Amino acid sequence: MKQINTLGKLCPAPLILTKKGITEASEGETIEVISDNETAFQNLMSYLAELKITPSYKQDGSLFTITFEKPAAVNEEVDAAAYCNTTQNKAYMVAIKGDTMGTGDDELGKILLRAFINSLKEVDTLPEAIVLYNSGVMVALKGTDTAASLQELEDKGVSIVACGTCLDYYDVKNQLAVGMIGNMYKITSLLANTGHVIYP
Amino acid sequence: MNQDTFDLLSTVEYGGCSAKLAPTELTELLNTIPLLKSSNIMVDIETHDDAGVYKINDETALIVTTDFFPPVCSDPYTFGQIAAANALSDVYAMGGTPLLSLNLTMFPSQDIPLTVLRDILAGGQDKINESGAFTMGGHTIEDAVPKYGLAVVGTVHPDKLVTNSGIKAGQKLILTKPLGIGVLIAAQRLGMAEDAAYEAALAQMKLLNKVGAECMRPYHITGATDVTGFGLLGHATKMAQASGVSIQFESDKLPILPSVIDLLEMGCVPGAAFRNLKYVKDDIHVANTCSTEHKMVACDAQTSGGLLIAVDADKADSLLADLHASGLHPDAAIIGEAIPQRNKAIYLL
Repeated sequence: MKQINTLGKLCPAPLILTKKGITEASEGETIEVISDNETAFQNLMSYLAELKITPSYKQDGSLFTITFEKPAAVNEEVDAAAYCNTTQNKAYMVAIKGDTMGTGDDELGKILLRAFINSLKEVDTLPEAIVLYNSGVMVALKGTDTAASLQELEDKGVSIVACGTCLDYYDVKNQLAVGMIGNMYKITSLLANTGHVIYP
Repeated sequence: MNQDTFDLLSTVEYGGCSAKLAPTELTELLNTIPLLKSSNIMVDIETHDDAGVYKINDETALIVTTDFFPPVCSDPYTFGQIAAANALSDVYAMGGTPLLSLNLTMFPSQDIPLTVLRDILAGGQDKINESGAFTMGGHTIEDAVPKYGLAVVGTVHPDKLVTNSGIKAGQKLILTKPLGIGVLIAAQRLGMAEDAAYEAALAQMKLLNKVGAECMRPYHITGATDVTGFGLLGHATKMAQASGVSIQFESDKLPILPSVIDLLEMGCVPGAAFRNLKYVKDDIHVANTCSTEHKMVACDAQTSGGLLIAVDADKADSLLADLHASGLHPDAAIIGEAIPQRNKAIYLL
């Protein structure tokens, strides 16, 4: 076990000591951070959350003790190998590449895609991101029920990224109701760096 | 003790705009205090703008603002320059010209040599003179921790007023100074900052937003603000809400001072950045692709930070070229775009 003593230290010193301790610890090692400053404690909890670490803590008077294990790959947000090697981490994203789902009748394809997007919010593990390109951007336009579903997903932390070139091509940029506008570099980075991608 | 060795930073825990009261608490508290209204008031506290504006006649409106804070650096003269540049900035952010200035000073005359006070005031006057404003006096009281700043009156033609409620969807957003000032101040206090990076931060803080404001004048700008204690995301959130739009920022376009991302990776995240993040977190969506470091630099409290200017998309490149050509704003960049209002005020991609 590794103990990190931040007693008497004000931010950002406790964060720096903690980050250094995490880097030096071996994977799975238990790390304990002690602080006697409430603001520093709150900031440490926020900082660990940013590092995707969920610690436990206890308070004894003005003494705070935070305990956690060093995770496999700290703060490696785009580590595809880590995603593939663990059964627990099912990080994935969704690419909507058109306004229909599957091959066949377009009208049926549109119904299926609507159903897919509207049911996505019900699944246990939400996608990290949803990218929309070509006529796929249509599902995020004002007045569609799919935009409302995408909004619910965004409220739960899913990043929605619509292709800017596509919005311009179809002249619907001003009708975009949800999400961010991304260039091809952003979309390519997302596709390349996420463990697996679902193409409905 | 003499002034050559006196380190102003030894007097404070929090400095600069980092020392601002938490915005969440401030908003709640101010809501309980009634204010007199007048039809001549063009901008008051309600839109959380940079300064108040009062129309005297059809030709002239007065911009009134004040800002003061404890030391952000060791050298008294430099601190004076920074505090004055920061206080004058609100006038520039509203499209105005500083006219009159008052010094607001707190100083422990028994504990620190008075020559230090003289240097602070001389540094401040250096920037006031550069702005062209006239110093009309001031007020100095005893206090354990030194504090310095100005109350400033500026003027603007009522039709040329620039506010934080004047952004339109489709406009591009330009930031004139690099971010990370708060990170470098914190790093300097811990002995972690590289000299060149810290010097760059000091240079940005001392730089008046005068030339930035002059550059925006020919473009008939209606929406701008200066980025200070609430960080880029804090000030942009207020702007977006006041203007009825949303704003999307590109994290990879943000101008950032040297070594700041490395410092953030090491955990050098100032407390004020967490405070600012807490204040805006319900109003922003940060893409999962945006790094923690970029998110935190966007929340970093800036002291005497740059102007955030909304400009018509077809004129953005031209304004940016003018800023670069001025020689004073080489890091100015187009960092985002205003979009029709969505669920969130700010999107950071």
